[in-house]
Amino acid sequence: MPQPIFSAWLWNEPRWLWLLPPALLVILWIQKTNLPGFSSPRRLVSLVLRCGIIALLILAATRPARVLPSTHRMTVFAVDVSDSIDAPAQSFVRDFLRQASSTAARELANQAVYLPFAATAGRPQQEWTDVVSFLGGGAAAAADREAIDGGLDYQATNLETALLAARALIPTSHVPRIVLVSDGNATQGNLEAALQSNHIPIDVVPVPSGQSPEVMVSAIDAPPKVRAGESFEVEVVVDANTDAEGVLDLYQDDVLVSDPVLRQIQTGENRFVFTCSADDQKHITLSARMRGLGTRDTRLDNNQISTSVRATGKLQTLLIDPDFESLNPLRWALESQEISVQIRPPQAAPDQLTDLQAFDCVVLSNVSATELTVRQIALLASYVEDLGGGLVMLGGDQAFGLGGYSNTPLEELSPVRSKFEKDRDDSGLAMVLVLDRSGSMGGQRMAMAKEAAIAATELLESRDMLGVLAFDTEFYWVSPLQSVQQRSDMIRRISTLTAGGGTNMYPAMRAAFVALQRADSPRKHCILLTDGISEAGDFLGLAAEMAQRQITVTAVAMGNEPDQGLLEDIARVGQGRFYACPDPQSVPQVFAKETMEAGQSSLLEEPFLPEWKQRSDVLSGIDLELAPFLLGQVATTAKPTSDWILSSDTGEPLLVWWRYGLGKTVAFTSDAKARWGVEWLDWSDFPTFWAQIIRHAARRQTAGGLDWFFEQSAGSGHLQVDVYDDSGGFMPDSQGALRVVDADLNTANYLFQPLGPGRHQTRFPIPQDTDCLLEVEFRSAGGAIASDSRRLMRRYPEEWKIRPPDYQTLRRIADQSGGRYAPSVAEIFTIAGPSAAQPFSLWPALLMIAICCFVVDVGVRRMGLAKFDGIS
Amino acid sequence: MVFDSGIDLFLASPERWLWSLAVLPIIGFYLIRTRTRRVRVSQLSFWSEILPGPRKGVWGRLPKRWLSLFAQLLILGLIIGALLEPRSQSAGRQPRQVIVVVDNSASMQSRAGGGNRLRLAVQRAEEILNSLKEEDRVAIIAAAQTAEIVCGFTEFVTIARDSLRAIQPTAMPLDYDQALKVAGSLSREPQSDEIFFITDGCFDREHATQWQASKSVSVSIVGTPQPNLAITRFQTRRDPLEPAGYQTSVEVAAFSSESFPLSARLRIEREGSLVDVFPLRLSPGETWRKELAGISAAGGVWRAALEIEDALSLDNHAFAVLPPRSTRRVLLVSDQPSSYLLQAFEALPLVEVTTTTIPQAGTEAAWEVGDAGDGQESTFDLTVFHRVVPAILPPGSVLVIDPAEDGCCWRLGRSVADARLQTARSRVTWSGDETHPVVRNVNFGDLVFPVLSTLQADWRATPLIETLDGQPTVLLVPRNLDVLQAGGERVRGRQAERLTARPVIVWTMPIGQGVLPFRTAFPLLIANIVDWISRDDQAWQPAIATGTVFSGKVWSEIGVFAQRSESEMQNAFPLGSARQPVADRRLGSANPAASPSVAVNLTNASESNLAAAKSIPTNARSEPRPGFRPLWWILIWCGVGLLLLEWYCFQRRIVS
Repeated sequence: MPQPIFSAWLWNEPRWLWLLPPALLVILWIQKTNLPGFSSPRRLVSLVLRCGIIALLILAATRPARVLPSTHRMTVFAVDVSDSIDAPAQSFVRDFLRQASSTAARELANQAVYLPFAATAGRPQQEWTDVVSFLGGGAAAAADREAIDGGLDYQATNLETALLAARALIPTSHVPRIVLVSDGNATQGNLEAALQSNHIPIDVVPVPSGQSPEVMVSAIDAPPKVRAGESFEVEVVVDANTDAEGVLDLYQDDVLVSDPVLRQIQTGENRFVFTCSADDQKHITLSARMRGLGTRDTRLDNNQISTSVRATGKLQTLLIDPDFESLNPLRWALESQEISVQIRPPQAAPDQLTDLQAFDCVVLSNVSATELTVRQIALLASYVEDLGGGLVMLGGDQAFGLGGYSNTPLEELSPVRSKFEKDRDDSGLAMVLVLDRSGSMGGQRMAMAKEAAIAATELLESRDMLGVLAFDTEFYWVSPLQSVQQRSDMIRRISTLTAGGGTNMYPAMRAAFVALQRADSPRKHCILLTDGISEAGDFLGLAAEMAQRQITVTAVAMGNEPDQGLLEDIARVGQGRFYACPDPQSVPQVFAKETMEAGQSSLLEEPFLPEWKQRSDVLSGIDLELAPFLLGQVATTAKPTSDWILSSDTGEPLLVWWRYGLGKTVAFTSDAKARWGVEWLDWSDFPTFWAQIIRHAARRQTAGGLDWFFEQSAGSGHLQVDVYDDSGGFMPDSQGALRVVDADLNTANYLFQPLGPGRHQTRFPIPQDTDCLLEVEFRSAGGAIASDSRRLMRRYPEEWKIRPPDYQTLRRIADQSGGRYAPSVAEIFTIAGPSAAQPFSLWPALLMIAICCFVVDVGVRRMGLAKFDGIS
Repeated sequence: MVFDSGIDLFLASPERWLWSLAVLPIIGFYLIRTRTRRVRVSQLSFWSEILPGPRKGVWGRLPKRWLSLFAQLLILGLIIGALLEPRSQSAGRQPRQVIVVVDNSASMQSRAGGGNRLRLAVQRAEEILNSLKEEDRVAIIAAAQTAEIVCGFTEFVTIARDSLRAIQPTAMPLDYDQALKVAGSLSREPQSDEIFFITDGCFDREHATQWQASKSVSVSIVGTPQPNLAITRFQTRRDPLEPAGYQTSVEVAAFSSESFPLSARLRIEREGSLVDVFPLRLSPGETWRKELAGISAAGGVWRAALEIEDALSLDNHAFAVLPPRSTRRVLLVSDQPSSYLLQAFEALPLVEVTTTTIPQAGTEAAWEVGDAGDGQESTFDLTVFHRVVPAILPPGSVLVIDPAEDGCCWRLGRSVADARLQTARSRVTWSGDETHPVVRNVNFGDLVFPVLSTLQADWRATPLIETLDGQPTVLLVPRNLDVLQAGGERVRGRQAERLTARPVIVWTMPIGQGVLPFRTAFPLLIANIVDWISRDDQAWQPAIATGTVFSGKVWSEIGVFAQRSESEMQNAFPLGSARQPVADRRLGSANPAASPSVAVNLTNASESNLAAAKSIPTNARSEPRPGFRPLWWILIWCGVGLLLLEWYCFQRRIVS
């Protein structure tokens, strides 16, 4: 702000002054015809007075002001109440504020305001005691604090916000002064920007924080990449401001790898070295934790830290199959080709992205969608699309459509689409869905039930028939058993389904039986869905009767409440299947699978020989002419943009792949084990065939290299990368992108901006409270690719690190702003530095003078000037 | 005090009611004047009053007198009413709090309407000031990379206007979010305060998170789209492969809303000498890039200049500083100096070799300054001990060749006969390359040593070359673990200090045994070692953008800045300014080891895109809400009018 000009005059609207001359002329003109017959002196006095009054009023209308030096002072105490202000520092602050307030009270012309701040500025307080209540607020319960401080975030210190807020509190008519009471350890904000725009002197009172006994694990240093199978050193840095002893645990992927020995901690920096090995893992998470420190440690939140190490080496492949032992031949084949393999059942499939990231390729072998959770399926989709992983789908009687892939991300990932084979034999299916609509089915459950019913409707062909029954204590037909040609009407009716009532399933099941019995279809199927315990009924007898009539019954239990034993028996007796769905979101998949299963004709179990549909270099060296028979496959249709490589001799897709997002998916509609591929297991090219498929699908190996330069502050990451080509020089004309994937699979992309030869940079917000993966990929104009990934582990806030007060920054704030460093309380209230200007409006005074003049004018006119008048 | 008139008014200065006592003398004068009194009159006047005849009616005089009194009281009432400062309580008539943010970033210096865009912005801001009425308060903020409050809230438009006209243009880009943050910090009533942002729209809207997010901000765009050619990148750095090599990249972009191409010549100079000239002809939206490579150990200032007269000249110049490649000083210490070893070093560019023998007993060796691994300066970049085992390692990098005995940080292992070598499988990988830079491109295919000593690897050491059965023959022994892990990875503050601690490379392969394949691999190894130890030295001094905060200073001017002291940065190349260039135009400070010069450029595509304004829809509230005149001001003018009227009536005896 510019320095105020003292003793200056201001006219805010001087343009109205132009009316003064005409007004005076009017008065003069009027005066010329003086009828009242005043004497000359009286006329003159009256004229002068009237002109004066007019002039005063017009002058007042121009809003003149006089600028005088202000004697009023306002001192804003910006008090740091963040977590770094420990108990001894709080005492210091308390004492200081007490002294300051008592001094301020004696300074009548000085107004003091207390502004607490941490990550943001709190509400300004008039009393120092109100600010003191903020100290230590980070440790109080959130609900309690909300009422006091409006939810101040104590886990950061933002000096910029504090200075801006303090400055805004000071009116321009007051001599400003800011007193910053802080330890100077800013963790957020742009202090420089605030100092650049600041013209108010800032007195700095350094707070001696960091005096409470504190031990923290401040860093864990490990090489970002190691070779698989090799050992490497990990160094853990423990900082302390007191001597202590405790146990330092090191975990490698949740496994304790260190000895639980008592370690001596000395004041200052302590470094401990551990030896770890990479084994066959791709990504290793190392966590260091300090415990057993007792009273020598005030804050426990900063006693743990993690990092990630990536192991390079063999291709890592994960095979998932319910019958995982049957995949041993494939495993041996791949391992003979220097590919590391892990085999797991579906329930042991990774459910964390960081776990899946350890593999270059995932193989789903005859895995039904119902055997995977919704999260596992979503994870696979993200793994392929966002992280460039490879996914291979092998066929079987529970794969593709028969596995309920329809309307799931698996179907989207797959380069083939399942198809019914009812086109071959013109056979139709009559199916009735018996849906529980009791009160407990409200909310998501009813939504999922409707979605499942709609999915079944959409999957059926026009020659099929579908009916939907809903029951509570009674039942009614939502949509009667009829041809699916009325699909849209059916879907509309299903959408109107609502929940409410009790649970009595037997009458509805019997109605479904009656309707199916009358239907003229070779295949008849009934699906029961309930989330509760029904009233009694002869369910097993009815199911047996239905089975006798060639009507199969499948039971689906939603949630954990239903009588699963009864439903299982119904399905067993009804020659159907039983599904337990504790997660309602999996119900639509079950219905889709059941619908396809009821078709039962997507399997083609006849021997065939593979043929080239489209030659590919991926399978170079494989002599397909010598490939033996495969004994079956799943009927599918290749999607339009996929690469159809192999087919059966009847023209059905056998091997199809495509790129999906950053990764690739491969569909092999037969299998790689003894059911359909028994003859292939003895084929000499079997290992090579599958190794090349896996390598084609797997995450690509990078050319060239990347040097990372990463910094983070205040929740924002700044990444610079040097990109090299194979020869070690800078990769020319390269463009790159950063993909950030958090633990919830939220993905964000950021483009790199070229900074100079070989150097690129980008900034991005770091996901809070979660680990995340950083994937970097650069492509050159010549087609070369350089990529790399790192894991960014969640850390405790910077605010919780042991740091001495940043006296250097505090001194710089004082020097740069023209304030004082560590002044005494008395010095704070002495006037020094720039002053303020107080403009005083003059128009009220002018009006008061005008009133006086008017009274005198009236007096002169009424009473006259006796000295000069004759007889009145 | 609230004056409940039913018309939602209150009095701001009710204490001035005392002035209503002024009516007493008015009334008093009237009564005195109109009282019945004995008056000596002439006989004519007397008889004219007594005798019948046309008489002036009492009823005619009374209204005149009452009218006169009424007029005077009304005048007084108007003035007193104004003095009481009546104000309206309705929301629509509340005093306004207006914050005017004026963009004074680099793009505002572009030519527009006889002046520049900043001038247009100031004019626009003055229109907003002119719309303000009494009791309205205004604050002015000048916004570029940092936002400065040039005038705090004031009711006096004159003060605000003077501050507005004093705003100077900058060469910095606009940080929209920062400007709004500062404006928001002033606002006490976010719901009712008005923020007017006057800009040309030429800023990075993609990263302006508050752009379009803040509904209470009225954006006013000034300036018309103009074609502009700009240098949007200019950097130079050392080549990673060639010790004296460099690469310079330059990028020029054309911005225009028209369809015709823009032409100019781009002139590249280094230390005042012309490097190249490129004729450019770019279509709107087109970007031209060029990478220049060369070899020169000398550093210097690069300058790129577009020879064109376009709307914005700030972005037609850019600077870059290439750090010089200093000579690597190598000290060879040996009791039997090997000419082959000496030649291997001397064959390398920018390497200066000094040889010395081991000191006599009792004398102090030149390198015996202690194992100061943490940042102590060394005279030599690399000290090579050939068949010498020093008791204390010097600072700087150390290469120990064929030691005859154990040293301070290595131990000899067993001897191997007919030893064949291979590159050791490194436990730690550097970047995407899984071989250490020291052994890159080295082939040991046919290399056989009749007898070769091996080394025992300490847990901190990394084998670089080993025998086929895994016995290390070349070890990398860091003085601090961080150095090992620092290859290519930027380390944090504490570790950064230890980067000055140089590694120790120990190898047992003798160089005098005449093994021919080794004589082929040996020079390559030496070259790799010399390159690796100086890889991160003086590789790059990146040019920074205006507005960057660096060393506690906000860089706001374009040019090259040389540091003369710890806290003072001097502009060595003022860009067309009126200031005199400094007498000492040498770059760098008196101490060459201090930080070199810093080039500061605009190089901001968002600022240079002067056609951006065309694509921005202005906010519906870009026109200021009309203010209302305060009542007292209206009452004053009513009083003036009534005074004139009363004067006229009095003079015409309409009132008496």
